[in-house]
Amino acid sequence: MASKGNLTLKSCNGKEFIVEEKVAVMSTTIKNMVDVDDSFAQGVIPIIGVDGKILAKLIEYCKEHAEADEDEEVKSEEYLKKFDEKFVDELNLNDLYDLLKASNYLEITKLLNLLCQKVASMIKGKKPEEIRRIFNIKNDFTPEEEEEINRQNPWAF
Amino acid sequence: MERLRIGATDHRSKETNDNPIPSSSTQDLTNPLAVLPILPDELVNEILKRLPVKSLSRFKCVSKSWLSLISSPQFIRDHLEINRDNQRVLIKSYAGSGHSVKHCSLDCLLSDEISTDVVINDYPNLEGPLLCITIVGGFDGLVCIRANQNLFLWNPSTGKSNKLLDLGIKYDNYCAFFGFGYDVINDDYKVVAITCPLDEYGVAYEVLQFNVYGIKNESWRRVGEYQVGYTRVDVGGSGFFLYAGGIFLNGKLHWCLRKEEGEFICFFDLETESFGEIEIPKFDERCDLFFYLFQGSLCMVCWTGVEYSDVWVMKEYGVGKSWIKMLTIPIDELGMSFIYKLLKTSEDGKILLINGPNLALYNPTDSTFRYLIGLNGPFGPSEFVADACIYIESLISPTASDAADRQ
Repeated sequence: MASKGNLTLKSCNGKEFIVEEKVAVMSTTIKNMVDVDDSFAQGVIPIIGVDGKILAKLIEYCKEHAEADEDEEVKSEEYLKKFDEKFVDELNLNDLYDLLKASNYLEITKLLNLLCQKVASMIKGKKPEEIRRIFNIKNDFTPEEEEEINRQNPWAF
Repeated sequence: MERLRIGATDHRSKETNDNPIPSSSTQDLTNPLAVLPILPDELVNEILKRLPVKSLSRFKCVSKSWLSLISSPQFIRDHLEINRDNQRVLIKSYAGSGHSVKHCSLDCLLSDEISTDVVINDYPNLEGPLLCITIVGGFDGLVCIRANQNLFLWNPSTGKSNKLLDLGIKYDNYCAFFGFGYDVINDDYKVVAITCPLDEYGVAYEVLQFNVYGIKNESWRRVGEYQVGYTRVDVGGSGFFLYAGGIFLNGKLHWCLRKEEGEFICFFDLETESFGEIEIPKFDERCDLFFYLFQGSLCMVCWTGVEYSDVWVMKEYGVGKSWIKMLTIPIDELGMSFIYKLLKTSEDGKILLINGPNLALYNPTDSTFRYLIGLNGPFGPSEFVADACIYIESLISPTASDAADRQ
């Protein structure tokens, strides 16, 4: 049971995290749950589909940003930028993927933007066939159709 | 709660490691085994919105669903909004061989780095050699240019262009000013031409005729006339600014024109298609005026023949009393000119401007110039910059077919 001002979040594999409310409500989904139903604020909030490892990462991110929002002097914009960079650079692909989905589901907009930007920077220089492999996409164009599309943007290759 | 179910469906159990993805322990996507698990469409959409135009153009052939997403009006609009900071500069210059048009990233110019992505001699297909070119204006991802007397809407990022219909006037008997902007209410990019029939000697006009071209309708419409009284066409001296493109701000295009009593700002509202006047600053003495958009405000650079130019800014749009002298820029020997076109202020307060034949970064704290292109810059010693405008790297189409169903 969390003390006043704190919320308890429970991952899908049963790990509980007690976090400050201001940190938890960086997630719009959690904010809505707490706003709508007071019992969530008192009891345990289940975070469905997010395991303990990923939830810990989410909390780490939200903590830094919630504190920065509260006191700009303690954590400057530059500090946050560095934190964000390090945060995404240290993720492996599995975690990146899981965090993407979790931040989308929990509506943590800042983090979602950061992660999408990261994936974009990882794929921007790739060839179409590499993109198909990375995203597991089947090429449903005929060779003629593909050539016609590429003919319109020769400078892009 | 519906939302609760979204994230829950296909979570893999990493702890038991029963479905390992061998290469996913790092971020190395070059590894042939690196595969992202299938992402929901909304996340793919979010990721693609953050890609440069070049990558997106290349990825159109990935699959039919990617082609359809990247080509959709909503995606193109979202991509523009998310990439508003991704700005480029279109530069018109002269070299020994004639006109040249190039574009490069604004960030590189502001940070005084040598741009690695300069695209040289890029302009729409003219079906003949380029004789002369004027930059009318840039907005969103589009630039309006006038090349060999034809008007084009052009997206330099995608290379797509749209040659507008002829205005149907003889330029021997008319003088014309142009402007380019966006009508939010009708979601239409519009070009405005002010045409002035010249007197029999070809030196003066009395009336301004407003003509509008919207890319949705693809035709010119005469929308009104404005009597300004006898006005001499003065090509040299202070009349120079007459031929600059209209300044687009607050849904209106603005030109600094002259009538008998002196200069005035004439505006044309793209939404209501009405026109009117805005007061200019009260200058103590007669001066040469140059009219721009700077830091989101109407701006006038005034030179009275002394060793500096004054930069005036209209702090509160449309309020004549809010004109203030914001800064004074010295005339620089190397610039060899007092003509400043202010383009943009960098985060550290330096101002990107055109100074004579050069693009320069002016530092107001110590009144120094750093030249980027032109006589002293990396762009070639015999080249000089004539004009420049800023646009956003985007997928916005210059043609009606793609714009008509934009949401």
